[in-house]
Amino acid sequence: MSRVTVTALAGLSLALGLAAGPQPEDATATSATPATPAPAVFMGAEVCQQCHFDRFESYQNSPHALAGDPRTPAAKQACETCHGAGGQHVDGGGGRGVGGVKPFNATMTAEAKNAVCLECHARGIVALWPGSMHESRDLACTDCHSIHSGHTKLLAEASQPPVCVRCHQQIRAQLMRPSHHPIREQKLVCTDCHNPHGTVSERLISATTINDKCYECHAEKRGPFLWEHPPVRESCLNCHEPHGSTHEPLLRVKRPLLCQRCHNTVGHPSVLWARTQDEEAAGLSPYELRRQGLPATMLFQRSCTNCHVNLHGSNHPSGKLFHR
Amino acid sequence: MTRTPVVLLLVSWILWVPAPPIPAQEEAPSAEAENEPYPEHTFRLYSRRQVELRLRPDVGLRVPLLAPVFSPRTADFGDRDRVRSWPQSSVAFSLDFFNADGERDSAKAQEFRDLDGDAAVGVDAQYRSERTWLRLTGRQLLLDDQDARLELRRVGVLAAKLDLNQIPHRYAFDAASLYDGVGTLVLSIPDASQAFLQGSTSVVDAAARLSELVAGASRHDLGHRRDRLGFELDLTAFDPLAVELVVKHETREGTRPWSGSFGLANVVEIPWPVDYETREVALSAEYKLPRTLVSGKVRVSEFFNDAHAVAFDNPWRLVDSGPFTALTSTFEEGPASGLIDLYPDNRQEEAVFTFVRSQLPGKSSFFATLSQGRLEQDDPLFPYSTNTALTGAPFDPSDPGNRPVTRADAQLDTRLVDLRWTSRPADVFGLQVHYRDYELDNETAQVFIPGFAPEDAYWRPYGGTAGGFTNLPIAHAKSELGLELAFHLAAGTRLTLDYEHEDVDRELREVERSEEQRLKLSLDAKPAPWMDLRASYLVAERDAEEYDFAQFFRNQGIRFIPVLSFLRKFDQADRDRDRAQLMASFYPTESLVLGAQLIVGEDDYPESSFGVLDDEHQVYSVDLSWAASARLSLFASYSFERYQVAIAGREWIAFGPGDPFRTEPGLDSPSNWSADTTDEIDSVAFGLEVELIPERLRLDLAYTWSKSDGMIAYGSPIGEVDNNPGTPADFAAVDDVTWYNLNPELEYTVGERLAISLAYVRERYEILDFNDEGFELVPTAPDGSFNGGLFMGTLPLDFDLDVVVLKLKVGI
Repeated sequence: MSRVTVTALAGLSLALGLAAGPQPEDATATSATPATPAPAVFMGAEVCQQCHFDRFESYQNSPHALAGDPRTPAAKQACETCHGAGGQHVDGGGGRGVGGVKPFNATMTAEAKNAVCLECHARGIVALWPGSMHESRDLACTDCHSIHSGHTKLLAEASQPPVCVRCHQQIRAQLMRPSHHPIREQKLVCTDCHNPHGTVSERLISATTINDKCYECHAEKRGPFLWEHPPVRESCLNCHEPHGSTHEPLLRVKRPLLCQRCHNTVGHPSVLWARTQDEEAAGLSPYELRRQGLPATMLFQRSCTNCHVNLHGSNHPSGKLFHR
Repeated sequence: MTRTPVVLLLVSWILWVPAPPIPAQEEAPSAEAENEPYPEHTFRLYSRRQVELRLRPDVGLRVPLLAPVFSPRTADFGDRDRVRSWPQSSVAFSLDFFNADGERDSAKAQEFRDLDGDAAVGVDAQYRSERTWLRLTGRQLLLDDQDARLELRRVGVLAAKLDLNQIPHRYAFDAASLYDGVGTLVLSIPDASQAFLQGSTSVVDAAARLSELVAGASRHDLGHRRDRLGFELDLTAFDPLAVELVVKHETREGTRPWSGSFGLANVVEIPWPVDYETREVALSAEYKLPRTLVSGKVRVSEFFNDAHAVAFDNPWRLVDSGPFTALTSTFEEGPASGLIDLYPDNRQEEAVFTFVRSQLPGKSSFFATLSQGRLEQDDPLFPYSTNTALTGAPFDPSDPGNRPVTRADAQLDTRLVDLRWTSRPADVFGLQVHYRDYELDNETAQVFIPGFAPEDAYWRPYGGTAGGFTNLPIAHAKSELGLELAFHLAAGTRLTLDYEHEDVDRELREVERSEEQRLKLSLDAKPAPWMDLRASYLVAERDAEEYDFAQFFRNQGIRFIPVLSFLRKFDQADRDRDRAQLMASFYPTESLVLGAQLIVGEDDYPESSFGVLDDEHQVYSVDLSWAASARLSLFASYSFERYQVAIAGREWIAFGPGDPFRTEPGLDSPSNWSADTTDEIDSVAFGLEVELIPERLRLDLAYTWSKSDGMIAYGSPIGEVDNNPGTPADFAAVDDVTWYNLNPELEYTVGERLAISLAYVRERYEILDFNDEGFELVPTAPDGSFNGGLFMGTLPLDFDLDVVVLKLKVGI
């Protein structure tokens, strides 16, 4: 029985067992919804802003407040377009959870929060949200966006990367590596490559394939070439780590080992260097050997690509081995 | 000029199309509110800080505020009325005066930024009415890394955006080169110098002569700048039809250091010329009804390279010669020059069609995406070689008339079908079925080639079955079928089982067909209001059909197989994959967030004896975000990562030691070697924002620090007939980099329209790598003989950077 099958059976058993068992107390569901909904009474933004002026002020500065657009909350019920009618909230004297307003906090499920946003934002880059990776992991729109933040695109942070690396902490570390795309320098942002709202590609890449995304900026490498390098054509990620690497240029493994993952060719020196027994006895380190000019230059600096320069593909009649 | 009428027509139309009427507002019922005292709201340069206590105050990567960075924020249109009156406008300028020290220590210090100037300008101008939004932002204006954006939004009619973005790509400062014509398509060395080197009497003399010339080599800064211009237009006037036009233009001009070579003992690092232009146009339309969405997009991208090739002189040869021995020769034999075919012009087209149908029975939705694409290029081919003295060829390889074909005529066709059906038949149960089929067909012709000239050094006939060989138009197709079951166990708690089966078909590769089964279990829970928990485990098995190590050569018509028969390329080999991830976030108070994350994974290649045997990683992260008050927030994070790859190989010589086909056909050989590579990385980030004097004095501080520790541990059996005649030396310094950036900024708000800030950047980059140790532009062997390379000095160097910035922010 394969490992996949075993894991599938275990996971299914776990799921069914949990589903069949007593359901935990739903402590996080909003308790504000009355059994018999009272007629919605909208109070208007003039009322909301009396207690929630900071939120109202930021709302006014946001695109949602463009009353000239019939699709915006400003052209509908303003604050209450998203938060629900505030009549009972006001009658009850205000306060958290009073009157059934939608607070968009931990007492609301992601699904409930998203339903509000999706009423208007269900097209364009959000068209493929249902079933997408982030939707499947129960993310709420408000996990990344804050209507009252005042930031561009109403992000919860001043720029994109800080939003994304809240969860993608490994990426945060990779962005700080020596070889990186200019994200630290604020010249690129995550959505230059990804659409977090859903795509037809793996890893939420906003192109048909990963390579197609890379070609957008590195169009010179898309070829096609007379001499194709197969793993290059299949996925740039076979060799590169786009979020950052310690090995220039964004390589997954240091050369020559990067190439030696696939190539072990006759006559090529392959080990960076080995000490003779005399050298070892003399305690010579690789660096001392290096100072003595050993080993052959071909394994150093750009290593294999010292000679195989056109490794992304070549058009030259003598480019079979990507020399030219 | 021909475009002018179109532009005028478009502008007229934009101005003519009336904006929809403003709907009547429901009147606010409360009159009491108007009698409340209003807080004082005066114009501010930027919107007042909004501390969103429900969200992490600042939990991300603290982007170092580099010297001239001006970060526009939303303007505060505050006035004395609680409810805005429109129109409103705001203009803010930032004048930055800075002084940098150490910015020329290393090109790495300015890899993607410009610190060479001493002043920069930022601007953020906004105009807004109830129907129109206009904004102009600019950063680092006057510098090489400037960017600017102009946005226009006319509600219910259009949204338009014009972007300029300049990104420097700096590779090396003061790189040494013997060549004239750096940055052009022809890199030449004076004949006298070539003759001088060709006249070397020994390899020791050769090294001495070259060193003498290099001492007087000219110095160059190597790099290029990426200039991007983009225009986007969204037309929304015909709702529910939306039309989008995207036009992009990009140029890259300059140089990048890369390599050229004339043989195994004659590597030459050269500056490749970069002269690229990319043009792209995409037009899309989307029609949205309450339950249906249909969209279509057509995109065309063209790439032009005005540097089709670089011709570069061989420092060691003034006169062409081309016997077989030229491959291993330095000055005795070889071509007088070489030519590298640089990236060809190319074109990509793509059409995408998307259909979405929602609110189907069972709370179902259906998504379909079809895409058809083409990549093509038809650059003329160069002759086999620039070497006019090659021997053994059946024709003159330097004659353009003897090219195998005149043009490349290469073409790839791609097709994508992506179907997804999601359903929520019950509150506690969700279902998703996903099918994805991607195909890449290669329509490039197979060209018969009788032989070739490696590195322009000699003619290499491939005496294959047909007296030559061909290129291989590789292709592949990948199809995935997935089923996802989601169990909503409680509000905020979901258990998901996601199964995927993937088939990969490849043409002209070692494995023609492989299949992979993947299963992922995910748990997303909120066990308490103060805690989020996310966990996942993925297990996958990839089974490859027969691995044909020789196909690459056999399909080309080559009889001699020069590769290790036991090696399995990792991208096609059988693979067992495990991935586990655990992430927990704690919210003990509304203003404090603690996060922890664990990621572990392993790729095991059970059928591989050589190549990649095992690939593991572990990542541990913790972070903390705390908004102590409305005036103070801080953030800290730490990550430790470890990546380990085990690789095995063999050093072998045809018909000699280690030959897997003749002398040592088994797996064991004293010539085998193993390499365990390890990269360990520590990363720390810290950020602080504090308002020292309310509304007056503010301190921002960002600090990042990372340290990588790389290692290659070699192993090999010792003795007997061995191509590794000794103990492989471990390399303890493999891209060991320590890098930190400290960036405090103190801002004092003088008045309503003026703020002054003083910022300081302290950045240090330190690298220790085996390539750097003992590095010389002209490496020599212990006996002083030339060791086969001529370098320019482009390896990353340490730097110590200090920048002081005085910023004036002025609001109008």
